[in-house]
Amino acid sequence: MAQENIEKDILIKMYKLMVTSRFWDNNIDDMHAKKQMIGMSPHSGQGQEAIGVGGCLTLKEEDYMVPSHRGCAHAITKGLSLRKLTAEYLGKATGVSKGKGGAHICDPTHNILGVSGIIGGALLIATGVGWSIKIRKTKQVVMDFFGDGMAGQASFYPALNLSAAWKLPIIWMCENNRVQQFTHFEDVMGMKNIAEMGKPFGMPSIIVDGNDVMAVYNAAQNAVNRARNGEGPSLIECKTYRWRPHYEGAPETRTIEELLEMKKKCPIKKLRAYIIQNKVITEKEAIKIDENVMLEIKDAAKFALESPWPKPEELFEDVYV
Amino acid sequence: MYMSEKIINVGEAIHDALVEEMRRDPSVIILGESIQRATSFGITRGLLTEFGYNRVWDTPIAENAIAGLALGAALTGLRPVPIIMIGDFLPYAMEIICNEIAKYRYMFGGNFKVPITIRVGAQGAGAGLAAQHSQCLEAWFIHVPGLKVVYASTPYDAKGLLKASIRDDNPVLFFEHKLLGSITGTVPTEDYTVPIGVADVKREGEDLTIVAWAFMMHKALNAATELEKEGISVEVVDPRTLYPIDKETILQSVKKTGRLIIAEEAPKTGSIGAEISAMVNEEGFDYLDAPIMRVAAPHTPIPYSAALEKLWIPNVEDIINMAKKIVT
Repeated sequence: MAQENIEKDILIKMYKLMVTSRFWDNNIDDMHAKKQMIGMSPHSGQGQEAIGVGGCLTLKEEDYMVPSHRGCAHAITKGLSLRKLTAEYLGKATGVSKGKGGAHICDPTHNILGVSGIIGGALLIATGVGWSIKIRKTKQVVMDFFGDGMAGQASFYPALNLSAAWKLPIIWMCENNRVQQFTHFEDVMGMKNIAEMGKPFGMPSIIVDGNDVMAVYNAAQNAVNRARNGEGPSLIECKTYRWRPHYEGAPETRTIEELLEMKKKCPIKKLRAYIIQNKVITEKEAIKIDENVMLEIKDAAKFALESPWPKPEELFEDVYV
Repeated sequence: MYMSEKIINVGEAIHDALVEEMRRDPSVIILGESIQRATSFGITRGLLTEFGYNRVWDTPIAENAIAGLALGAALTGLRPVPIIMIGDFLPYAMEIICNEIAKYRYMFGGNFKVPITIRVGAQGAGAGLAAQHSQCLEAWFIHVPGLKVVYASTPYDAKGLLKASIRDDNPVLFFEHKLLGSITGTVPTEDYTVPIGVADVKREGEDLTIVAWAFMMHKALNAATELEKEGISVEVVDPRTLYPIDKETILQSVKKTGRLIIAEEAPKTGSIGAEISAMVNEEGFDYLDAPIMRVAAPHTPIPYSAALEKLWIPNVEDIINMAKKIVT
């Protein structure tokens, strides 16, 4: 556990957001199983909550964020409402993308760009956002979340290259959960650590425990400061573990022993133990937070279920401006 | 119609449109391979001097990155004009163009605008550049909802359409044919645009409609001149925009002439000609006095040898022969 000087209210936020992400994930899987959510199986982010939460808590409202496809930790931390998020997964008109995107969420009101269903392009879009910040000379930064799977794509190289060549204000947040769809990292990747890939480009490239939200937060904060000061990009490889299969209902290619062993490193348990032990909150207060989060998630689910479907004419809207 | 006019070629028209739009709107930026020093076959000459490094960007040879940079910039307040130096390099950018740029507005519920004009340079055969520097790939993109596809044949259209494309809040692919560069024509010196989605009747006629665009449009005009000598009156329709295509102008022309040939410089299978033919069949069958025919390239890669390349390229003779077949 990282030795921290993180403020009390940030620690409480971290806890609340990670619990929200975990419970929401569980709940949407449940809704999918009950066929209350009809459509693609969710790509669960369980086990990886510390990265989206720790990373996005270092961002300002005006900063940009490109989420990965797994879980909702990034988006809810950056400001996406649970109601709009849940309604979008259900394909309802009140969803953040009017029900046309499903898991491909976004929220321009909080400078959250879209979740792509294609592994690869987001790296280059984030590069473009960083480039645009440089051109427009604002003090913004962009944080891009991607998995180890994306590091095998052809877009990874030009993204790192251009961010370094042009000193773009980008924080590359790699969530290395060691599995790409159903394929294990060591079977298909030529490097031991993704962080090694940033070094030839001269950018700070570090490895952190992705299940330690405070470590993620501190690493991200340093990278954000550098980016904001015009010192260029950083690559942070967060070592983590995916608890669920590639998508709900998909086969599991890892052993049950490995899964059980990795679940012992639960990022939420870790933070909870730390904040209770250090008297940031009492156990009772933690339970109260859990209960309130459950109420918010239930409210969002109710809102989504009761929301109208998109009208037929929506089919033809928004293809062009 | 206009206060004053000048005669320029298509290359100059494109250059002038870029300069004028960059002067008009400070959010317009351009990026691409070798556009600063080598000026992309002269099209971007003078731009770096006038607009500086912050608006004229050389990129590495990475077309996917060019498209991705443009999208990131377009989503955050800029109006980028990414340049794909040679049409055949497009496939590297195709993932970003077709899966990200084309879908960003719709998939995210209209939350974003994507004002990007992708200038696709140097398409087309006839310069001895073999299979990977000679293709016309516009047909690949009309199949993708969310994109607009334009392809001009004259300096007037090129300048007016490029300006309209840059001002459009949607992603537009602006194609250029490498043999059009030297084609000259009259353009107004004052500001004007050519609307996207509006065809132009380049020559009026009574017996046969030929739909052709880009360099083929000029071959169609030449064929029309020849056919007139043999008593066949040809109307040439240049769609100018391939998506959204101006169905009405094509249908009205076919209604008048009763016959239709679509001529294009690409393999016939899955071509734009196939699409236009199907559209007229569905919406204008009663106007037809003869089967719709296509003049297109064979289903082979484009050969290098001058002896073979000229056999591959659909030419004026091919159009004339086809016209004589269906006008009896």
